[in-house]
Amino acid sequence: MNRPCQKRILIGEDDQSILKMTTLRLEHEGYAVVTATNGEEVLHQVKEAPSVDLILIDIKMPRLNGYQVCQQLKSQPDTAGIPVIIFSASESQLQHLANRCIEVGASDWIKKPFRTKDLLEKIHRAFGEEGNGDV
Amino acid sequence: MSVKRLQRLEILLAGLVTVAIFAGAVSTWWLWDVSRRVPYGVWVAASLMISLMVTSAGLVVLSRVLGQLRRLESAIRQMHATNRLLTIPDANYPNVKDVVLALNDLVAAIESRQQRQHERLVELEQAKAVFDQLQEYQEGFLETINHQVRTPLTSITEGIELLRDGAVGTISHEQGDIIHMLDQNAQRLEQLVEEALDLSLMTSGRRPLYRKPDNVQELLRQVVAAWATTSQQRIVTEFSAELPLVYMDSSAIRDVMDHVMRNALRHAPERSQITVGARGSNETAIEIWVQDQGPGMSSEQLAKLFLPFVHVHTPYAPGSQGSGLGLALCRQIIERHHGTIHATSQPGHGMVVAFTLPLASPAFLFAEACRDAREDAEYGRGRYGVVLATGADDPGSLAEAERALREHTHEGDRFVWLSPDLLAIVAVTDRLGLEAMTRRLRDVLGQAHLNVRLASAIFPEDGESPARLLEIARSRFHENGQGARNE
Repeated sequence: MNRPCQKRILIGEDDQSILKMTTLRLEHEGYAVVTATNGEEVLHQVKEAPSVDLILIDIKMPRLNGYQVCQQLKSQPDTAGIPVIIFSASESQLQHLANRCIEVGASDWIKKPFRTKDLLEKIHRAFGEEGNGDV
Repeated sequence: MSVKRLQRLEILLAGLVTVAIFAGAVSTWWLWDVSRRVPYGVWVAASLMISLMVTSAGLVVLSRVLGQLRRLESAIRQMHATNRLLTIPDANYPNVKDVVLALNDLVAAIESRQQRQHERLVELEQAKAVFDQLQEYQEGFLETINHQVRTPLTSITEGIELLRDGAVGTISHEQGDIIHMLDQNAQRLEQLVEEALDLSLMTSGRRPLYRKPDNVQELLRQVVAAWATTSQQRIVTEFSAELPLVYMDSSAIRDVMDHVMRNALRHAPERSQITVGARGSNETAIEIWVQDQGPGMSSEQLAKLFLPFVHVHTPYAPGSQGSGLGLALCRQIIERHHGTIHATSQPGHGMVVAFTLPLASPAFLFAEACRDAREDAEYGRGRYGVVLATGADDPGSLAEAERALREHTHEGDRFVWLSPDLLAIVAVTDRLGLEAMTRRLRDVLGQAHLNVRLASAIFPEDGESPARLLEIARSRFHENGQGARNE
């Protein structure tokens, strides 16, 4: 198994089962995982754990949605550089979704239900393009 | 003639009748020499009285007729003012009575027609309400499939993969078998959900197609290569010489090919041959087909093959393995590409599923650009225009002109090369907009010192079909002559 020097990933997802499964998978792949179940908690966790290397967030979350969280992260100089991948179950307007993700500064997005290999591919790509390699 | 004018005419007529009768009586007295028996004064008085009586009687009749005509006129004016149909009061005098009866018949006929129209309108409104309700249900269905079904499905497939990969501990052989079965079923469920969603989006037109001239041969090679690695049948190809480009959304056609291949492999025996072929169907389309060596299907089975939720059972696929949606989805995709799909078979001789795709010929691309513009125009003023550009002496200048023209047109304007020296721009605009656009583009070309001529035509005034618009715009090159040249 490839353990890429314990990079830290923050997952913001209000569905407990997806949160649990994704956490187990990422830990199995060698990442350290921090979790949050709403938008405000994601922002709080980023402040508390500044060494977060990547953030995965769902669009539909209580309090602050994924887009709003992403916008706030990108507006702060100390968090603007953290790559963000957005989860979405929305199918009907994929082009709109893609445009919106670019607009709020997300690195990528993935459609639910996603296959683990697809998510890992996007995570590797985000680190490859934007990760600083520090842990 | 109005009733008021008739009133004046009535007085004039009465005067003339009185004078005529009086003059007649006096003349008779004079000519017949009745003065011996009747004194002159009596004769004049009697003549005057008779003429006045006749005139009075005439006036009474006339005024009653006119009174009835006035009521008729008033009723018609009232109908006009209130926009409501009224029954006109009956009349005594035969001719007027006939007119009133005829008008009342007309009013009754119009009322009856209006009633039928109203009933039809009510029926249409009810049908629209049902349609809106169905659309709402469909939206709700899509939303449910999207979020309420796919989200838990994510957890199920993720959980199965974690168990299978041993991420939460090692598993026994028996546990592995169960996990494998769960995995197979989760994949089937996932496929069903995806296909149901795809079919709904495709049927409702909510899934956009990104069509462009594309290489179908390359796509077919990729499909064959992908399926060859997993199938137990031998897949061979049968393409005619270099195939021309077709106008397609390659991702959607890839889905079509995957469904058709899956269907062929499901119904064919192991180690049999599957042939994937493509050839020019006619001058406007190519045909792609997949032939298997399975048991074939009866005409009853073929008739239902492209309907949703239909499972066709054959000896090699006796159970309901698929979602029953794949080929229905294929039909939707192909029809939205302006193609056709059909299957032919004879029991015992395999089956051929074939579909056509339009060639990306300049004529098709131009017609397609016009069709799209017309659809877009329906939301506006219902007009679109065509601007043709031709490099007068040097066709090479036209390629250079295209860059300049693209910079000075809207993003949604469609550029189609009809031939190396003829470029068409199809834009949603009205006549004034088209004239302004053509003037602006002439200025742009003039400033760039490009010897390119422009001519335009507007839908629908200049022509309803793309071919007619093209013909009119072309003829204007000759009409405009040197006037259209940018120098």
